[in-house]
Amino acid sequence: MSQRIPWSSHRVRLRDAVVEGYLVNDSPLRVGAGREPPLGSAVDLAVLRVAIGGKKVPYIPGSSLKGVFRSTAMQLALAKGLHACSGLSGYTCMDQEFTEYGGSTLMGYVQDRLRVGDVMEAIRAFHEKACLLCKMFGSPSFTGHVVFSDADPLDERGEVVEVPIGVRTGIAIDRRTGAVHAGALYQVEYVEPGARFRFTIAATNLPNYALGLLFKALRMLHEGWVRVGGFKTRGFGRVHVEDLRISIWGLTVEQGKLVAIDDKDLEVDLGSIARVEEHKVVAEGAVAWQVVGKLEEVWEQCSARLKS
Amino acid sequence: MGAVQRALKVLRGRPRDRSKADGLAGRLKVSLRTCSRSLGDSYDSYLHVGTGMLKFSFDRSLLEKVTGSRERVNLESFIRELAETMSVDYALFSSTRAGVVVPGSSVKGNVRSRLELSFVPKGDAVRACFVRSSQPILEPKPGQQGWRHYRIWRGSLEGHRPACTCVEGPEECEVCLLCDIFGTAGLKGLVSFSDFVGVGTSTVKLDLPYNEKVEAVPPGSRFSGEVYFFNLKPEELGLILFGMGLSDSRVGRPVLLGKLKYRRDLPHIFGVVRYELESLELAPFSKGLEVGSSSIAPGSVVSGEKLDPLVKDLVGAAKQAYAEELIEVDEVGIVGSLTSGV
Repeated sequence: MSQRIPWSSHRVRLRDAVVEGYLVNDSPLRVGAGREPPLGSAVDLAVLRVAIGGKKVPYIPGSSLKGVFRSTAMQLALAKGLHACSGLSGYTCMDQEFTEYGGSTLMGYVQDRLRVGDVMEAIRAFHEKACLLCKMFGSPSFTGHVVFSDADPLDERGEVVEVPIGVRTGIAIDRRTGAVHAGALYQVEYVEPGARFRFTIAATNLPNYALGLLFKALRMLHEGWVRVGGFKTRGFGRVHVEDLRISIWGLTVEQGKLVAIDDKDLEVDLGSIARVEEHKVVAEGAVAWQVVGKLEEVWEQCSARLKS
Repeated sequence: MGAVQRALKVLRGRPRDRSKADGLAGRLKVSLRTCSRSLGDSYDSYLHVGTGMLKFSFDRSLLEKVTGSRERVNLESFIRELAETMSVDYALFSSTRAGVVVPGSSVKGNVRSRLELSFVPKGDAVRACFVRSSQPILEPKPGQQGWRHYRIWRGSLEGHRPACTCVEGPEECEVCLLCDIFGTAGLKGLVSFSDFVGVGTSTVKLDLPYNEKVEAVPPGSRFSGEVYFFNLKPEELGLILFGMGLSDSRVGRPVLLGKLKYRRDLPHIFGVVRYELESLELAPFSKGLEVGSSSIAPGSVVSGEKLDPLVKDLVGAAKQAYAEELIEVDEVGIVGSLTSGV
């Protein structure tokens, strides 16, 4: 089955992977509510809030997390010499034109095939022409295989936790006078360090190398190489991951082994480190980070093959 | 003497690709401490980096009397008393739940502005814009606002250096070297500065002339932080160190930071600090670092005495790459030599 229908298709369900944990901010964190502060806000740059259980609390939207993971994955893929598009509107793989499709864009060709009922050709064309990131994270008219939940300030029982908010005033120094530059004063709200945001990332059908790429981005976030939110170059947005839990299950999980999903993929045996329940692999805490490491190795090994 | 307002050409080019890991990436662990004679420095310096917020202090019991009073005469009397006891409180030192901090924005601004001012024109061209500046001014007379600043950085203040902008997108814009490294409107920077968190540091309250009151950290106070870098060349990493006042070793020369740093007419000296490099770590996805006699592999960390030759090599590479354009200014020494009103 997996031979005929590529993993990027949503017609097959080859495996599921769920990554859960807490993002804990080590530095001030600001995911902003936009340029204009909400009515009643006392600051110029307010943090985004959501109402949970009757309380309005700061949170990290899934879209922000997805952006962090995709842009990090793109840097890593491009560094390996792979084709990877930015995913920005108008610059995706779907917007590329191909001579073999009569100069049509990939999206035009796929939609044309779908109109005449040639679904397999549409799937084949997308799988062949779209970059790994479009297959993983999605592209116009194509739903990605990785879903990022909002990261909310919830405790283990799912109850909302109060999140302390701070306000910082920013200025700029006028290079010519050495004094405060006129018009550069702003006040920004931020989440005080130490807040815990519960997150979930759910992935379907990802080959081991793609899971490895996803996990590499997760480790870079955990180690501070990648940050979340605004004001990142001014000290904000450093987070680490706590209570990491990884579960992987499905048809391509056999006795702790994640079998290779396509001809570029490599099998990985997690049976010696993770808890194995027939078609399911579960890892928590330090063991989960070992699983992350194993899959990162697969990404490193496979990335050269993915170029061809 | 008036400033010569030459028209300068800011050298600009396309910003480098941010989407691809291609160059040096890693983090510097850096400490920042206020100078102290007990630590061998020439100055005892306090530091104030404020929150920008002003607080009032007043007699709370009087306020309770005001709110509890029902008779007009008493109320008027209480309000008069309350007004007399109200005053502006001490300007707070910046802090988070982690304690007192020098915000990353302050450190970034300090390093960036020092670098912008350290680039002087070569002919009619200059390597860096002034990302935040007013129009060129005539040399201020002693006592006028900014006169000490002008005397320190005179060599780079002559001429108009308009700011780069990238709001039309990185594919369309051209920026100067420092905007490419530190970012500008529409362009993400390649270096990130964490907050510098106080290490066992506590503040003291200082009363200054003209009823100015500030919370400050005393001489010898230490802060610790990190500087992340991405896609830099060795000489650009050297520039970052140069901007912190490092040159020949991991300990930098005294530089100025924060409020009141130019004032020498106060009971205390403010803002004389030293940056010290504690470690340099290359990210696993970085390119290897080869500079001078130093060679660092991706994923490795250099600390302690081994940093001394590395700093020298990196800053040396910057000085070589930008020869005749980069000036080293002893800002602390110059301020010390200037006397108000002279």
